[in-house]
Amino acid sequence: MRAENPKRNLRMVPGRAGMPTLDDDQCVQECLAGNWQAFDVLVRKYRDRVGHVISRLLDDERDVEDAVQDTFLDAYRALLRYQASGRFEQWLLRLAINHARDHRRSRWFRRVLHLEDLADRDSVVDPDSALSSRGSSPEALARDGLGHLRQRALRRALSQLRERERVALVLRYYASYSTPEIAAILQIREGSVGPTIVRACERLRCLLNPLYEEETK
Amino acid sequence: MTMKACKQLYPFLAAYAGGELTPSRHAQVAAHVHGCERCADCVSTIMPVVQTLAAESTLPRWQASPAFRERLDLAIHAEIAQRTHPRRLSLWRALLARPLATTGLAGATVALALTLVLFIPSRPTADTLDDAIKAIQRCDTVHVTGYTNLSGFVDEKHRLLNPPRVDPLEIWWSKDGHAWMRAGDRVLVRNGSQWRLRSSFKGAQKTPTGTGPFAAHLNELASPENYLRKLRGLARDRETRPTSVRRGGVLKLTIVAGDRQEMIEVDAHTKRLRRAETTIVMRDLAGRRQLDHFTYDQPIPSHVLNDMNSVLQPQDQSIR
Repeated sequence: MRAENPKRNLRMVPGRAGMPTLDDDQCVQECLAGNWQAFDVLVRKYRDRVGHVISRLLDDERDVEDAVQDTFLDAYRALLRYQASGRFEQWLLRLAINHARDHRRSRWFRRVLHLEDLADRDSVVDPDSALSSRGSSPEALARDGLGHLRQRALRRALSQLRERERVALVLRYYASYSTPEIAAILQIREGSVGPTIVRACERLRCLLNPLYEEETK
Repeated sequence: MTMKACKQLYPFLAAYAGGELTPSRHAQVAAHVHGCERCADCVSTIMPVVQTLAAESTLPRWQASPAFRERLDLAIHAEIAQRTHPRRLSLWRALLARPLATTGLAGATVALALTLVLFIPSRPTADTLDDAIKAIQRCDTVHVTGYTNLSGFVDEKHRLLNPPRVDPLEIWWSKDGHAWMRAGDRVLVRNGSQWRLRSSFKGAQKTPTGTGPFAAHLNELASPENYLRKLRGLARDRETRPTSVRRGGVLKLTIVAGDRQEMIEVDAHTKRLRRAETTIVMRDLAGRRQLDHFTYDQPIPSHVLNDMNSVLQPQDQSIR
């Protein structure tokens, strides 16, 4: 029995009630000892960081929230498997990336459209058509906002990269992780991170060529 | 420049293009790039991409909304409560442990079924939302004629439980055993033995991945062609009642078949499915019934549209 009174643990307020400052591994040890308030500390610490990475891997905000939630629930269930090594963040991000990948793979799920989305559906600009159609005039680009279009085109191009390349780029450029950290998250050798990123950039350049050509006109 | 140097410095080219290297490493890569046409090409290729990505990194970071924070806390607390509460004896095990009670329950069920068959003459129809809600409250099966705002049904409270931290709570079961709990606008979906919190009914559609009839029904919704094939099958059923209403360039089509209603809206000009709702009857723990709805939106291929017209509404050719 991990906790004698579960209701007591239902109100977990980290940072208060005398919760000392603990590092990640100590928090995990506290959790495994039955003090589930420590898990709330981890949730609050990494919630936004995990969400930021997932938000660059998934398009729909609701999918992002679902994936963040699933990540922490999985982390909670898998705490016993975590081996204290001072790399809880990397372990958690690996779970998050796996969940983001699962969300992307469930293609039929993405076809669900919310009723509230129907109202402004017609106003959505499809970045694919904007890029591929030669009829996208400079005026049209200006109207849509070049920065916005570039952002959407970049997101679209990222989604066409290989899984490892996309994740490596997101971790490096959106989440500012170092090479050793990316290697730990992706569970690859440090020496493989650099080539993966360069290859991803080259591939991304091919995918974004129409956009760069439009910009130089 | 040797191929060996290229191979050694290739991993640093992206960082070099972004100006992220230490001065000594930067000088080493710069010296190589100036003398190596291949690596210089690579740098010039990836330079705009690296600049674009670097500009993206200055965008605002994702932050959990207050509503999501609350939802996440609730989900984790529910998970903790589930882990720390002792597992309850299941209904079946409890019944098997009491043979007398099981026999009595079976007898009562047979008597109730006979009563329903003998004394309930026909299924009522409801033309308005109020009528439909009243019919649901009488535990009847409802055929909703025409288009009705079905989302109104899901706000009906039928069974309230008092578990910790989630109050009031409704628990709904589909006929093949899938279940979800609903508390306010939160929905907990049962996936195997686990309950997960979802922000909307969208999550409820994701959960069934098995091969049961409910999962099969939801999988059908994934493809517009499968969906319309099902519509055509329903249209051949003599119990179905297809209706259409043309208003403002939108074809509305409603089919009622047994416990299921299909409603679609097709834009007459773009030939796109604007909205589709499938309504299936859900059953709660008290044996009452509840309507729930699923929505999706997909463009309809022209040959499917033609096929649909020929089966459902032969006289309405104008949407082709």
